[in-house]
Amino acid sequence: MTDTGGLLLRWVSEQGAGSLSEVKQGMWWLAAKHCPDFEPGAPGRWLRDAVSLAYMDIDWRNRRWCAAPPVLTRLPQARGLAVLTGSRTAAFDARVTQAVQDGLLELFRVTSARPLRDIPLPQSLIVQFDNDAGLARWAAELGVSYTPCFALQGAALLPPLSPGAPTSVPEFGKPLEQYDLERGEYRPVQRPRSEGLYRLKRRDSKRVCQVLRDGQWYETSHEQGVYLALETRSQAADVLRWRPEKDCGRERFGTLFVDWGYPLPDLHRRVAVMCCGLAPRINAQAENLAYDNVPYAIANKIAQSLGQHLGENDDE
Amino acid sequence: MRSEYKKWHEVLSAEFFGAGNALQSTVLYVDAEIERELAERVGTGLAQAVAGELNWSDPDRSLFSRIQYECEVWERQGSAVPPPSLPVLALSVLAATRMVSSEGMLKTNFYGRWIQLFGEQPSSSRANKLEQAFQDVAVMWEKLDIWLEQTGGLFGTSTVSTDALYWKIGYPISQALVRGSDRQVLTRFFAATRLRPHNPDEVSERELLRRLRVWTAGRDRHLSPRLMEELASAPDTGEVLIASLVKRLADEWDGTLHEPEREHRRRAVGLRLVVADRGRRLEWLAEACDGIDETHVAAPGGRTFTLRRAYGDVYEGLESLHPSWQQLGHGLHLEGDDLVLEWAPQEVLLLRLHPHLGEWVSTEYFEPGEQHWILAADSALRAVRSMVDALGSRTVREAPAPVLGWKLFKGVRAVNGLAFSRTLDRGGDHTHVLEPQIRHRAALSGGLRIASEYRAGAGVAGHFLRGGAPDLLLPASDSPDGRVEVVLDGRIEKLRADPRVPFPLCLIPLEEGKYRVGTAHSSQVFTLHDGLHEGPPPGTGTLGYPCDGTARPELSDAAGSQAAIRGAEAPRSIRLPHTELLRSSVLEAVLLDPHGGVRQAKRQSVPAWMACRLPAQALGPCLEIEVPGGYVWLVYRTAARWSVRALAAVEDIPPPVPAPDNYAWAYAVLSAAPRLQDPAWLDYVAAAEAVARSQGA
Repeated sequence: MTDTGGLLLRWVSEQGAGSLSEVKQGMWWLAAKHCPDFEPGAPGRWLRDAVSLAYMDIDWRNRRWCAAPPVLTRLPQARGLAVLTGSRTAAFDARVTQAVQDGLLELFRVTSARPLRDIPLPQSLIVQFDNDAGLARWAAELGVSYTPCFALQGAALLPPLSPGAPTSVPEFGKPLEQYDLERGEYRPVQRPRSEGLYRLKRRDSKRVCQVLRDGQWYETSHEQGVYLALETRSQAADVLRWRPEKDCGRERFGTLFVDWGYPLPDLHRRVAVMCCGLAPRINAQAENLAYDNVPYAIANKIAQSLGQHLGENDDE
Repeated sequence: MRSEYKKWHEVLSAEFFGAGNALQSTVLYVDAEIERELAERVGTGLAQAVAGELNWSDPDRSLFSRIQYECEVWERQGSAVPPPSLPVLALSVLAATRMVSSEGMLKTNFYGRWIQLFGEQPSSSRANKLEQAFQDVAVMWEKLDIWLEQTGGLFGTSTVSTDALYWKIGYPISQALVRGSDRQVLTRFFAATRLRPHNPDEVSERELLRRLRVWTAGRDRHLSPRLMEELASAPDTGEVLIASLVKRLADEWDGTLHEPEREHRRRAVGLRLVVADRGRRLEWLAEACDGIDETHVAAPGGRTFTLRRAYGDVYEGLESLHPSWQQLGHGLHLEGDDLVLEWAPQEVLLLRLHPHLGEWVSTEYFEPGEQHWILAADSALRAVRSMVDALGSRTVREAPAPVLGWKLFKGVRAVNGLAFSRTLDRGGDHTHVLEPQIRHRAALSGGLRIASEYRAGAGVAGHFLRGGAPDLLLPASDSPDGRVEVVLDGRIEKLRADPRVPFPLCLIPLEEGKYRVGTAHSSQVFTLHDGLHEGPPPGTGTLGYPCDGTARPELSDAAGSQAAIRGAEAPRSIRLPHTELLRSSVLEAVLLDPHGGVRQAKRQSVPAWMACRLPAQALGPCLEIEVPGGYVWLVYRTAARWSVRALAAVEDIPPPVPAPDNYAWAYAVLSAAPRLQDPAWLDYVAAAEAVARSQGA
């Protein structure tokens, strides 16, 4: 195996579970060998994409992760394509290769482009099928779970936006940062000045996010916190936009654009990514991420679940 | 033995091997000043006392025969006090401290000074006898070393050392190199270089020497000129006295400062600098000392800080002390009754990403291949710029530092081994920050480790994924070109490698199996595997979003049969639309229900995203039709013919009940009438014919 992304996925798959700092150390080491232009944020971005693509689940707060079970799932209205995702151990790879060689499986290995500053992603395994029953049979033969259509099922399960557990006031005198929603970055503040999303280092040295609402502090993740902060603003945010496809007969499908600085939470990202089985496209010029093949209904579910109105959009 | 000699023995025993020296490294350092001071207590000079014991009269016995005899008695009687040879040994140290180029003697001339102390003429027969008799003094040194070892540190731990170059005279020289004040400075150095007490990481002799050179470079650390001279002239290869001496002191260092007046109580730790928030903020970081969970330290101005041990074995309490350019440039010294924290001023600082803190933290040595940042004072900018340019790393970029008069260089790496060696060889004022650790054994670093639970035992250093073999860190070389031969499973690789550059084993195509790598003298064993698990490895799928109506927003443990989203596994929450796929160029297609309803399926072109992102083979003809409830047949036409497909199990298809005017329905059914002989379909054909007939009538 020579491709960096594939090797990393095999590595996390063979380990099953572990701590975030160890997996990042391994990524740093490998990236230093194979990606001369990678930037410090690359391991974090790779992990986020790996979560979106359902290769792993990461508990960021407790700095632990596990490989996700291997799953075969259909892409919504994608001309009979499914994606084979999750853990990819050597034994699993061997079974897939054998199935393809024996003509049992029609499979395409598709690369999601990433800039040179990033660590390459594993190739997505896109499977072409003729009917649902056949797809379920392949899943059984490969020994993987079958989820008829993760994008649709996951979208229906997206939770409404809510702050996490109440928590204590940040310790006075300790470094504190507030998320600037306009600039999309944290800025140091002396003390909490207004409602919004804050970041601080806990006593155990973990950096955590907390949101201040109605005078009470709540635990949150960065992504949930951004949307909680947006929700309390008076004006509409317009950070999620959807554009229908122009192709004939596909008006209900389109691209979901998410502006930089307003990242979707892990589960929302996964629902969006599992519409095409490929990582979101990065639009550096328009400063957004584009999720392809997202049905309007799913895009709207994502927006609603984050307390947002789905805008229409144009710039790519 | 005369009373003067005995007195000297008592005084030296109390001074260097008394109760206060227990478990401390002890150095029998006696220079002219100390000799004068002790002589006042004894009433006789050391040389005079020793000279009085020499046997010049009996040619059959050795010069030191009296003292040798006393030593034998001492051994027989249980060696409960320091050996009787102590004054002789102290005199030899005094001779070593006089080794300077003067009075027609070279600074390397030990015997000249030794003879001079006894007041004998050089080259006289007595002088020759004194020189020859030094063989016996060397044996006395060896016995002192053994005695200190055997008494388990009760009288102090030995620093008696020598090397191949000095051999006999190395023993006194080893004691003469380190004055009391040097020992204090060296304990500060050990703290500043963040050595752990008793050196459990086995930082090697040469690495210590390298760090000491870096620490003393361009700054007066108040080490004695003698020690500094030895440091400067020590060769880079082979056994070196100064290196083994510093190593012995480091191995015995208990983490306290050498402060006899404070009974060696205070612990010392080097501060680290943290560049936090992607280079926007500086913080001081103090690693916690064992046994000190809470303490106070004060800055020279009197400001006091309460330190408490926190997560990650670091102290919290320094957050309000913001690193300033003055502190960086001139150093910072915080001290309390238990602890001394020190930041040694440096113009150029090397930082590495801390795996647990997730921030950039100052470090002592460069790890080639890994990413580093360099924080450089403006005065060193040009030199640092040219140094990092020479590394040829494309990722380096300059950024403002969060402190006045300094700049950050981010993304400093040495990916190109050749450019890295050249940069080091080229030298320069700040090249030392790029120097990697010098090792005395082969070690493995990095790599994609698997099955870490099997790491211990069987002499295997680790198991790795094939393609992710670790880097081999080579021990320092003794060869003139500074290179070492890499040995892989007994075969000497053609490449002679520079031990400063990690040897990337992952670039050698290796099959699965067990490998021994290193040099002829030191090696490590590791194994390579493609994978170890037939099914999903333990831990897979143990985290998820538990679902109860909706998913919980936070990930948690989700083992067992609980409904949860794990990866792309999700519980069935909704009824999914029924879709049908037609993998051919369909010209038209309709869905039919039993009541005469017809629904036209729209033709679809290949979506733009697919054309853009998927391979051409995935874009063949296809019609995907979403089937609303109630439709039971799909009738479609390709260029060749009409076809029909049942959309439910045929036994579940209700009999047709079209209205007499459902002509379109009838037309569709009749178009594909002969394509299926199933009775359920034939019923539909009959019903369609009836509709058609009614139209004709």
